[in-house]
Amino acid sequence: MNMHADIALAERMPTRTEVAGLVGLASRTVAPLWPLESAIAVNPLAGFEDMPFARAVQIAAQRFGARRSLPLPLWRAVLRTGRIEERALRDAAIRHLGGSLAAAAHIAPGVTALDLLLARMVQIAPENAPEQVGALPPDAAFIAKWCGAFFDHGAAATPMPHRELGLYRAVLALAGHDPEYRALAGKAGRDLLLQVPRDPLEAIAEGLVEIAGEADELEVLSSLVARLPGWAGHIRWRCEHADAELVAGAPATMADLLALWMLLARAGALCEGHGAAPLRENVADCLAGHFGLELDALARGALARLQAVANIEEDALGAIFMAAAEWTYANDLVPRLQGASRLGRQGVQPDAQLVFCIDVRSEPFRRALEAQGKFETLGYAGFFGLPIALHPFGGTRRSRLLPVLLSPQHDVAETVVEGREAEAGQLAEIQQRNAAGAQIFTAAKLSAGMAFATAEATGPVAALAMMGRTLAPRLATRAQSVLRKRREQAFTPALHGPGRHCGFSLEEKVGYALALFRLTGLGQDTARLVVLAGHGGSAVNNPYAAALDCGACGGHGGGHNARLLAAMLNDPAVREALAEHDVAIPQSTLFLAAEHDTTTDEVRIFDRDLVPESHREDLARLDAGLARAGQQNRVRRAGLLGRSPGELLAGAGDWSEVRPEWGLAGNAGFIVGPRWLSQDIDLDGRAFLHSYDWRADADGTALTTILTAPMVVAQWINCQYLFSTIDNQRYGSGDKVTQNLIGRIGVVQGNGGDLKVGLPRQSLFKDDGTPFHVPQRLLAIVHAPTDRVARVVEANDILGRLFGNGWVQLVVIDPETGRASRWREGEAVPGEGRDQHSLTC
Amino acid sequence: MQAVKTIYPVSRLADLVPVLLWAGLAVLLAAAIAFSGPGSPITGLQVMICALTLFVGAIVASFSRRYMRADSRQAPFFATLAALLASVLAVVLAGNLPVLAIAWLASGLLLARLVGHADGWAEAQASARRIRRTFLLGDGALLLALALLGLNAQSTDITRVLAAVPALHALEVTVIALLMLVAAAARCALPPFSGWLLSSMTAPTPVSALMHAGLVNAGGFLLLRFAPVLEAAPLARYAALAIGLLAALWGLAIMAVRPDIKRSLAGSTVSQMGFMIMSCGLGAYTAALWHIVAHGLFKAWLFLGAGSALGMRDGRDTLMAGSRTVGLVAALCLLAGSYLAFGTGMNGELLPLMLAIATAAATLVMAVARASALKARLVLLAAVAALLGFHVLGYALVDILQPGEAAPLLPPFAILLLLACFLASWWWQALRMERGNSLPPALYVRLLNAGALAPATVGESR
Repeated sequence: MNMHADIALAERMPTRTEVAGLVGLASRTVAPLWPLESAIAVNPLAGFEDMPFARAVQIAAQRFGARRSLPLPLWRAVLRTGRIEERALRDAAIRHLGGSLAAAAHIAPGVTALDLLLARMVQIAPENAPEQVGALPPDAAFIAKWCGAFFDHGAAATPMPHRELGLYRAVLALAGHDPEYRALAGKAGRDLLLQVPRDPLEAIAEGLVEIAGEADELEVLSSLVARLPGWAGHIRWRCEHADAELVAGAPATMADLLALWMLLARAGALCEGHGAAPLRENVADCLAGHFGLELDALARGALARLQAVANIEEDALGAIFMAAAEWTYANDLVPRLQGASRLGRQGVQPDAQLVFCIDVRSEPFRRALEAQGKFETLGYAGFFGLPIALHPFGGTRRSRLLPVLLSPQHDVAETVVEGREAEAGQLAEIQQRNAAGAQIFTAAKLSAGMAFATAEATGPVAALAMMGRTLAPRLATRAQSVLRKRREQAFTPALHGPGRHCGFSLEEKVGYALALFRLTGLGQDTARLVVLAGHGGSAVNNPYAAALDCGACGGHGGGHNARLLAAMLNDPAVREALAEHDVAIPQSTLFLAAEHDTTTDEVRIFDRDLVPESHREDLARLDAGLARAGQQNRVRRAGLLGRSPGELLAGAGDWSEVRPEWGLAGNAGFIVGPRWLSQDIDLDGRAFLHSYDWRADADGTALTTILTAPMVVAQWINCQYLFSTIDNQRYGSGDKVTQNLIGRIGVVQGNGGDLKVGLPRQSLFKDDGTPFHVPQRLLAIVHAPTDRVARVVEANDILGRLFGNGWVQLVVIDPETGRASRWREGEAVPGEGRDQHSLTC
Repeated sequence: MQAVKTIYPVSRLADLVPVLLWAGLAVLLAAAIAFSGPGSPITGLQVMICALTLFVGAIVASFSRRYMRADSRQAPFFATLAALLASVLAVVLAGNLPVLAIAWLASGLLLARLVGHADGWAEAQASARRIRRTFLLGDGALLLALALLGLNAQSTDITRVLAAVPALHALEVTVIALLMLVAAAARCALPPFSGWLLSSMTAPTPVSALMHAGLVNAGGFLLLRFAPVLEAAPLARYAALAIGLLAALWGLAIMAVRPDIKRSLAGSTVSQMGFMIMSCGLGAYTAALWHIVAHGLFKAWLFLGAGSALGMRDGRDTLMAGSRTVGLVAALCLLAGSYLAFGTGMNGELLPLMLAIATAAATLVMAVARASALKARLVLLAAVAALLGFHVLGYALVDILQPGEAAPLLPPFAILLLLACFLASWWWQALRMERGNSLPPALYVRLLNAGALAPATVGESR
């Protein structure tokens, strides 16, 4: 290279800072991807939320090579289940055509444009073939392979050499030895290995100069990030959310990944991205044939209208179905809530109050429990407002038990319960012994001197273990649950942290306690028992087990948080201080912590032996109620899963069960209001319920918190389910039966490739292949004065974005007027004075 | 609720196949007990392999009832699974050459079909094609070998064929034995045929379990069934020994570099199959047969439980036994081995025996070192003792059912050298692990790439 060229290059080359900025922006193309051990639901299109929903879906579809909607046959299957009303579908179709006039446009005698469109949607066989999944192109396969080797977290006994140099430099050091690289990049590639800068940002800068040309640099980088969204998402998690000690020794940033892509790009090894539009047969002919029309015989206007309908893309037809599903849901739910709002509260003093997580799975259980006696239930975020990280007894790293929007404010140690020292010692010993045994087994499997005899000696035991797990799965589960119960009795999260773990000051305790009352509208006239019930799921041999746990607790069970808050609320000093804040809790009230197992519908109450004699009877009544409610809800859920309640319980401990429960599938609504508003409505396990009392929140602080934190988490969950359903290969993780765990953090399909994002097919689709989860956007319904909601939305950009761009649909039920109004997409304020008809379009 | 038109047909085979297999196992065991003793129509080898196939098949089919519940092609899945198991049983029980050949071919094709079960997935189809290609070669070698044997004996009956082996010319029998070794190596996924197994993760998990526990053993079964052929051809035995040794160490190294659970297990299978074929070459038939059975159970269990390998961890340094421990154990084993080899004349079975003793010793040292409390140590020691007991019992049972040992192939010092190979690799592993060293880059890359499918042609992506 001559000097002249050098200077020319230097002039155009972006600086490191500029490149860092570009890389930062480009990395937003993908959402962070949490390791499956603490699976967090994220919106795979989080980086597109500043665009209107439809546009975001379209652009992301191009970028990721994804579908924009469910295929028509699956939408038709949803239609047949009744989860979409024919009337709503008709309305949505009319709206798509541009109104009643356009819909009624004459095509032929007795045939309107609407007829044509509806025929396309529900009758004419769609033209697309069964789904084909292509192999990863070689360039992406090369980078995915090295990402897999680099991000191994102890999965491989022999780690990749040079990991300490960082992803980019480690691969540079090894690529020269890699025949796959030679095949891909040729001689040019080999020379580049010696020439490219070792600093990833500089390498990107040079690469951009060489390959970007006229193209927009950010566009180039973003599309490269989108080539392997899983590994890119993992890098985002490492850089933004991981505890430092987890990722030490193997530094990697998005710049490393992009520098690798640049290397391939400069070597001319990039393959064409996703392409290949689906085949389109002549839809117009099909339409004409369906109605017995002759195309040639049609008038020109009619022909044009027919062509217009024929030209609607299949994905757009899917969007009409989605709108219809959303309207069906809203048209059913909103009027009923309005009715309840007009009636107002009717209730009696309850025997016990139970605070559940807002999770959609709480709702049917709460309804079943309320039917068992004088039990009042409330909904609150499942981490109970405590931003904590727990250091398990005998563990080496902490678990973050809080929503990922927050960062831990308290490090809580798990300590031995007083008087349980002997039991705890025993359990700790068992734990240590099992860990040692597992470690020895791992070492033995790998050692050249031990591997063969290990296989032989373990064989007979393995046979017994397989027999047991296959023929009597509940036996192992029972033993495990006994051990877990013992553990929960012997250890508890400590309020006062010894050593490095700080505890809580009195002000902090009071603050967290107060938040429970302020946010949920729980009155100070509490019942004799108040139970804080977290939740978790049960699954074995299932990589997605944590996805069944509490999302608000960072993909863990919520019991620890519940125990901490209950302990705070039972603390006399805290109660005294609360009284000064106008929350005078009766002496007779006892707070208890519990965990609701959403797979088995059993509720474990913690620290039972601390319950005084005076409350034993209340507890017994509650126990009975919980047991009956659990049984009732199991029957209901077993029906949805297509199995018997006994089979459902067995599935929770069966190592071959791919769908122990439906998780949050079906989620569709987010209701902010008092429980009496929704108490008489069967919400079908589809709604998040956050308790809220508009009278106790004059300045809207509580509402702001609810809408900007729990609702945002609910929206992430909703979008994860939505997109995982519409394109399970791209936005979901595909079929569970061919998944392959990698790096102890996630799954790939088959032999390797990109780390999979989202949820597996089995979590979303029924055994017969029809969707169980209906892809539709979250409908948030807020029971509060309209102008207060408007104020809150205007004051928070994130809400303006979500509601304004149609990621969440907002309906406000004004308790004073009884009116419901809908926040229109793209509008700044809710439609003033609209009556309920404006809701149904 | 409105009736929903299903898109996927739900099959009744899912209920039927597991029941049939469990029943089949019961019948087999009953028959084996009833007809035991001299003059039994089937040999101990056949009973053991059939029992293993039926047991793993029954477990896998029962597992699949829930696991494959949402599969779009459930009926073909269970039907192919049943046909595959039937073909394996036919291979094992075949008394004449044509049945054996046809069943052998069928089992390979059916396996390929199950690996390519996801019919819309390009990678799965590529894996299946690769299996068919590899097996074409191995199966061709087998057909040729069987044809030569049949021609020689002028019979298709396997007993007669084997009886006629001594009449073969040395060159002829060597060619036949080498052809059989090729056939066995292809099924056992020994290098250079490992690729098909290492890239077969497109198979549903239960299929992988069955494949690694059952199908890959076909090669070992073949050598044991035609042991007289192998024994008449020392060159083929040396070849089996060499290829087995290579596979045993190579497979372990592959296992160690893989970040994903299933391909790591595949590396382990290559290694274990290598060890087993090596034992066949050495003439330690009891050891080889016991290895087939025990490893089959072991690997099926690991594959079916492959959904549990989650949870980040660090601290690889503490994973293996320290190099000092390994060095000491290795030295003692060599010493004891020398005594057995030179003093008692133990030969082929010396290697598995000494490795078992080394394993027990190292495990005990690790158990004592890693469990701090006395009680925990005792529990771990008891567990090791129990495992050892199972091992010894299993070995003894196989020895009773299928006695047999070929004439020693190697002189005592060579056997010791072989043992030293394993012990030295182990010591090197421990040393590397202790120092936190990885592998030389060139070797690492080769291991990581081992068995990778050829990259897709551009534009195949959706």
